[in-house]
Amino acid sequence: MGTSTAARERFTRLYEQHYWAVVRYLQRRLRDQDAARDAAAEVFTITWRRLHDVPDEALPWLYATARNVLANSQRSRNRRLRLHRRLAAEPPVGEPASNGYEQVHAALASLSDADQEILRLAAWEDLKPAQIAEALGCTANAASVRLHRARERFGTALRDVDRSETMEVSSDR
Amino acid sequence: MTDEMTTLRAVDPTLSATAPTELDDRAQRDLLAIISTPSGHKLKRRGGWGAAAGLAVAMVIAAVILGLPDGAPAPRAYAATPPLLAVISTSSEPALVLNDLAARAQRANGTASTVDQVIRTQSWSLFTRVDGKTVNSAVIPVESELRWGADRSGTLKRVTGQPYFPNPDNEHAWLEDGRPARPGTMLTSETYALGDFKPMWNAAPPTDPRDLAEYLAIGHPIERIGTAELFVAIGDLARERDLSAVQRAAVLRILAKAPDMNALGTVIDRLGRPGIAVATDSDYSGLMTRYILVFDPNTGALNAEEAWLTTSAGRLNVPVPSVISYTAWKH
Repeated sequence: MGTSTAARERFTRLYEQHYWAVVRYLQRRLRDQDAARDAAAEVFTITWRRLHDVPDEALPWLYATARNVLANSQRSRNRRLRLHRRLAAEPPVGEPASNGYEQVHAALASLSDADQEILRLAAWEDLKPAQIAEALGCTANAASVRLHRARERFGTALRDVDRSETMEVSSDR
Repeated sequence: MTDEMTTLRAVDPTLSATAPTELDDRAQRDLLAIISTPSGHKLKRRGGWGAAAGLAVAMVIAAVILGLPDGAPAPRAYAATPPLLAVISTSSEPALVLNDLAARAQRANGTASTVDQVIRTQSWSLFTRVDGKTVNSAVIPVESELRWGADRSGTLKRVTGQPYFPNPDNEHAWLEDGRPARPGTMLTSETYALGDFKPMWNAAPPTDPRDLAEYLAIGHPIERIGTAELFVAIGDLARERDLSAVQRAAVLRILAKAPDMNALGTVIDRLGRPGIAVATDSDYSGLMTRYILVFDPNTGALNAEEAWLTTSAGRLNVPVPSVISYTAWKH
């Protein structure tokens, strides 16, 4: 199959526009910038191969592809687990830990993968329900319902973490 | 009470991480590597995520530069490129040259700015696009000025500079083409509100060479790619920060220990300044490329970085050897 100039130009625009968003998406899940940039190259390689499938509003599609890249790589999964264990409680480089950083991440980590993903898409990638639906391959209604439930469970997890923290502090006294 | 989504937003692990608005060297290399393969074809993976990043740049560039559909014949006229720098070569060991320069740098005056960073550069790349198009008929340098402060606010301006024509035919073609990217064309004019500028490195560069080497590896897989990536990291750092004398010396000491280094000798850079040039050759981007750093002989400041194709141009419409990019810092 030939590669037209138009395809190259479309892809280049897409890449220029969304490269850093995809890197950040991956970095949030891998906690490793090198690995995130390697994975982003993989995501865009797939995007280039499947350019005809990419909708005009490309970002949710790119996030969905990034999610698959993460999920399909056993190596990355192992690495991610190792990194998560090591870094779960670490604040971002160069920034002081915000209040409760560890607790919030602990609460997030206590949820199912599906809940974590939908919450991250909404809070960190700042996607609207229709875009989340596109990224997760479900309807907008389903995305709204899932997000609502995930938020409730996250709220409960936050309170639980907070409570157990308080109990630990009291028992130390 | 803060709602749980606000709580979650506040702990986004990338809040303080690198988020430049433009593609950096690494991102550009990856882009070129990706589009070097036909769209719709499956890539042969080379052992993991590094695969895409490590693919040959060569083929691509042709496509980008020429803007031709596959199978179109290559044009006879080469794309305009800057002249190679003339080098007065040295037979000294690179470690000696660099350690000697580091000692001079350390003695020189120069403290890093603690208030605002102001970085001015002139740069050019064979791959620069203006209004989505690449100008082949002329070398159009880009004059940049980046200002940013500790509060992460700032401005970035990029304007086209004076064109250079390797020969009269180039100039004729450029004029006929309607003087694309004519001098003074504003390419970027951005203002970063408080906290919006995201530098690649959040903390100030360490002064100890070992610490600085680790710091440079942030976002730059030097261990995997080699000294060429160290060159890229040093260039990226200079695009963000003006270094103190001690930091400059540390950069030079790291380079002195790097493998695969050559001391080229003395050069006059694009801004007419004498400098000490060191180089490393690497084909990690797909074409054997000579990466060159040029340092001020007195202060050790990075004055320029260049990339030259030395053995093959792949499908690029440039002769060999050719300069494919350069940046000159205006200190």
